Amino acid sequence: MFFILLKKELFIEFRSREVVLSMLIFGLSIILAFAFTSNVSKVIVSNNAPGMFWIMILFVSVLGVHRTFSYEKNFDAFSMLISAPIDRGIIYLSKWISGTIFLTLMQLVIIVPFFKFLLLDLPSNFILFISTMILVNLAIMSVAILVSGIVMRANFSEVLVPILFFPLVSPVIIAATKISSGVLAETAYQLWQFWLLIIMSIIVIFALAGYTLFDFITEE
Amino acid sequence: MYNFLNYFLSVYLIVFGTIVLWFLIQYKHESKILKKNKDY
Amino acid sequence: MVTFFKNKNNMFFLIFVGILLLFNIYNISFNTPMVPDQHWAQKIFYVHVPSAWVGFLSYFVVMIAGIMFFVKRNDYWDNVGLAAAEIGTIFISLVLITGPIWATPIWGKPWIWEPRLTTTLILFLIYIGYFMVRSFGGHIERVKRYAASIGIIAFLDVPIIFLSVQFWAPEIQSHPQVEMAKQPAGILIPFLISLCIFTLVYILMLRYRIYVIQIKDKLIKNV
Repeated sequence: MFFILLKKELFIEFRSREVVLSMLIFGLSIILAFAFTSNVSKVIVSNNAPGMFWIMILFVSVLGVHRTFSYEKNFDAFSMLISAPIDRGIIYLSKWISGTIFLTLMQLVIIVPFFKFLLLDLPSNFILFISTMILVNLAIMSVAILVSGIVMRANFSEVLVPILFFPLVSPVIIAATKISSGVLAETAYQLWQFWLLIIMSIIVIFALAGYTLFDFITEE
Repeated sequence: MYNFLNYFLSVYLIVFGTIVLWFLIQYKHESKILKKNKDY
Repeated sequence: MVTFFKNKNNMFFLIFVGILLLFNIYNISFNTPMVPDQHWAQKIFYVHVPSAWVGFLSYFVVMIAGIMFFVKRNDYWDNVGLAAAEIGTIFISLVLITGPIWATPIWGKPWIWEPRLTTTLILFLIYIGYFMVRSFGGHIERVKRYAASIGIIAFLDVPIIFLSVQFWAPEIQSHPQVEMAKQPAGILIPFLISLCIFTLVYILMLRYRIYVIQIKDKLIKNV
């Protein structure tokens, strides 16, 4: 059942490519803003590059998550989805995994402009960078989909999602920046493995909470 | 060396003042509700 | 419907709590040792930490109320959650106000990204979101569910937030407070007394607020 829902999410996206494209373009505009506001001095940027990368991803995730849920909201597909006799926690899981996939796809493309426009070198240990990035995406999306699911049917959802999401995701951001700085500076794994543990616990806690709570949240 | 008495007094005023104020506001709020209910 | 204090027990509790608060002020002002380099400012600790304790206790109650709301489907638990969220936020705001006032003479600057204060700030921001959802979330029956969920995940997040903030900037570990257990008895005992008194005040505030929310609900239903 989960795979059917997941395939549905991916299929909708592949037809219109709306979510990934809009996230990509938004990400590019944020990179532009970074370039203008940091005077493109290599010293300033190389210190802050991991932080800036994840700030950009935060804003892009809010946009992407909003788009992901807006299909159901616009055409009231939500009530149809709910009336299906399935465990509603699976809706959360499918949106979580598909959101992560969209975010990862978008990031794979945006890494090149990010590093090149800010006059940095591409990370040499690419594989490590990408794999830690995917883990962090899982954590970000687990929080984002849960928060979005809670407030999506309110009127003010565009405002409420960032307001709730940003404080809740602060440990993820701290950990993500520490991990990325460690990977980019090629420091020893022992120095930043603690932050990987934090990311893993966030994934476990929020995925469990999302799976359990989605049933209650989507009641009428 | 300062004795920082001002900081101490202001903090205690804020904390205990808030608690007392909360009870007063709550009581006024409750009386308003009870008065409204009496009319029914 | 009558006032909360018509009940004799509640009235006695109120008077008892009032006397305890006055005793607390007296106790802290006159029965505690004067720490050498902080003088009077150190005594802020006797209300700053109990306020934080009460605030976090209240947010814990919000989480429990959220879980019970989903299990029992009873509106009572939604009222408990709302009352605890309000009172918790009041005490957390007190922590965020008294913290900088304490810090200014001691550290020289009002704010340092110290782990406990930072965790308190993050939790405060989460609860701003909670109250925004309560106000703008739409239909009241849905809002109760949203609020319960937020209450649950907010407190679930607390240990992770605290852990990550603590190791985020290890150079900022300079909390002017030694571990609680290592405090000399002259400081520890008045602190514990203050803690108990604050908890009793909190219990009274919580019960009063739940009562007022309930009669307000009854009034709306009657209309």
